[in-house]
Amino acid sequence: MTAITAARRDTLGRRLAGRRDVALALGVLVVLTLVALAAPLIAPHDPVDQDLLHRLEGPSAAHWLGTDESGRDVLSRLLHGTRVSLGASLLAVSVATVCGVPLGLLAGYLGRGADLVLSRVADALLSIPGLVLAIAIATALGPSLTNAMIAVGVVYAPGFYRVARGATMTVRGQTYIQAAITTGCSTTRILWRHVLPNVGTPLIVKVFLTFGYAILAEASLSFLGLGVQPPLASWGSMLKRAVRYLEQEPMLVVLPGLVILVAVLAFNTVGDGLRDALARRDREPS
Amino acid sequence: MAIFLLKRLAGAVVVLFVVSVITFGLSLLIPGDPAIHIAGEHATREEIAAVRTGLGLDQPVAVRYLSWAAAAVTGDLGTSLYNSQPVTEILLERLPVTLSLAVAAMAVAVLISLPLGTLAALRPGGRLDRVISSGTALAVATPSFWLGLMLILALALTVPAFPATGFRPLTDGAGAFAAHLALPAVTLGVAAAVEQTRQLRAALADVLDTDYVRTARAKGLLPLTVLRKHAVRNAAVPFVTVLGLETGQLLGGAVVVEAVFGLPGLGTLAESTVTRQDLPVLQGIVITSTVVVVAANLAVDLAYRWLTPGQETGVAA
Repeated sequence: MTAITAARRDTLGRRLAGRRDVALALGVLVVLTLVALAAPLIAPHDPVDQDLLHRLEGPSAAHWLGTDESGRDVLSRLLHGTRVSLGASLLAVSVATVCGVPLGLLAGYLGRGADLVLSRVADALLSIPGLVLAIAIATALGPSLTNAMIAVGVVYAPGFYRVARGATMTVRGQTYIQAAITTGCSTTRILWRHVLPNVGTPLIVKVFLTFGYAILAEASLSFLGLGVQPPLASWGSMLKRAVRYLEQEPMLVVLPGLVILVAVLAFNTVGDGLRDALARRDREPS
Repeated sequence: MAIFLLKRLAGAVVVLFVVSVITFGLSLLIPGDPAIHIAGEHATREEIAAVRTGLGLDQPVAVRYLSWAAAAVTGDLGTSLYNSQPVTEILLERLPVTLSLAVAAMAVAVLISLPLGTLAALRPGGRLDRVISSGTALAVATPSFWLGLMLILALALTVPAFPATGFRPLTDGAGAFAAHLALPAVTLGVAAAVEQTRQLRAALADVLDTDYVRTARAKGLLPLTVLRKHAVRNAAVPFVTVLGLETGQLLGGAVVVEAVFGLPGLGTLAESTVTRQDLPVLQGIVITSTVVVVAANLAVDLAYRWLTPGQETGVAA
């Protein structure tokens, strides 16, 4: 059994390593994480330090990516924005996981009434346009980045619910679960110790793909003024402020957009690569 | 057919009921006492009590929900906290703009996805397929409002081919209407085209790999005839399903795209309610956009029945 598991892991690892795009995307994610953690150490300037004599300047030795409308260093704001944007997305994904997964496990395992009620709520949440629901929740809670990302998490929770529920339903009837029930395990213990580890892989794929969407959602909400409040910067709020200078200094708009694009692409590529590798592994078990 | 339709309608009613509970629940999320919020900071205790009774806030939550829902069913969604205008009236002013944008974006998306999805499916794994799949991966990672800004930069500011912002109703002439809608529709349509292209490619590639298509080819039918007569109808089912599922995504995306292009639709309305904390209007937007999504999914179910007459089960609502 152990040998089989080892062999499977090996193939999965090999298959992922064989994909150059996935390796590159993983590299990008590692760099972004390091930047988010070390932003105060590596940023050349204070991201909120204004210098009104040097507004809207192009790249120079002092400011590698130029300055914004208040003379703040664009590179430093982008680096600090990495921390804000990734942190916000992490919050949204965590809320979605914590809300969606336990309920999905319960619905998939218990079935019947619990499944019926929870699935109708999930269907209803999924039929509300995501961004509209996020705006409504965030407005009701009051505009702040934390509230906005809690709202985004609630919007994505039904997706996690569905993945967890579907995966649980497929393992529910298996012998090892029946054995656990026979030995008198509590429902919580069965779900936590026996079901969750076996539905983990599709959930990991879901986490990566949702992370990408959460970055886009954070950018959209910040662009609408619901996210991070000034003077703090996220990639989305930098775009919002730069729009007024689109004609004057287009790089202020181009740069944050490119950073968002690269980050989302990296998360999606890793998620897709993981999903493809798992799908192939399941089709042809070694 | 009648039973199928009734079942689907019943499903839609259940979804709308749950959505109405969620939407009503939003008002309970607001921190603090709404009566104080509405009466103003300097209101006396009596004035606040009067507001509370006037709004029915002293009633139990269930009673408040029932009277809110009963009014909503008759089209009365309350009045705006900002200017006391009936919410339904505000929504009806804005809805045509958002629907024009959504329909135009859907048309753009189909115009992109039909050729790309078909080309990619002809030789799965081939060079063209890989180029198209890289393109879709790039498009799905692009923030739509940023794409909109880049389009404004390139096609409105640098080369003034299109107006950068604003909206003209169809009654002002088709030319002005289309010119103002072109860039927003492309911005919103590109995102929608991604999923359509992927689904069409997958479905068409599967169909083209079947025995009956091989037989049709072996008979000596032209490739285009094989596509038209044998493949398209069977690949259309998942494609149409995606069109329905994308309605919600389009209406959500429209919020940001409208903000970028200054279109006076539901999206810019939602944006303006954020600063005003105008919850009745926001609730109206949630309900209205969900009704549009549910209606689109019903239409997809009907289309699905029409495409696969023999099948008993439809796609999930």
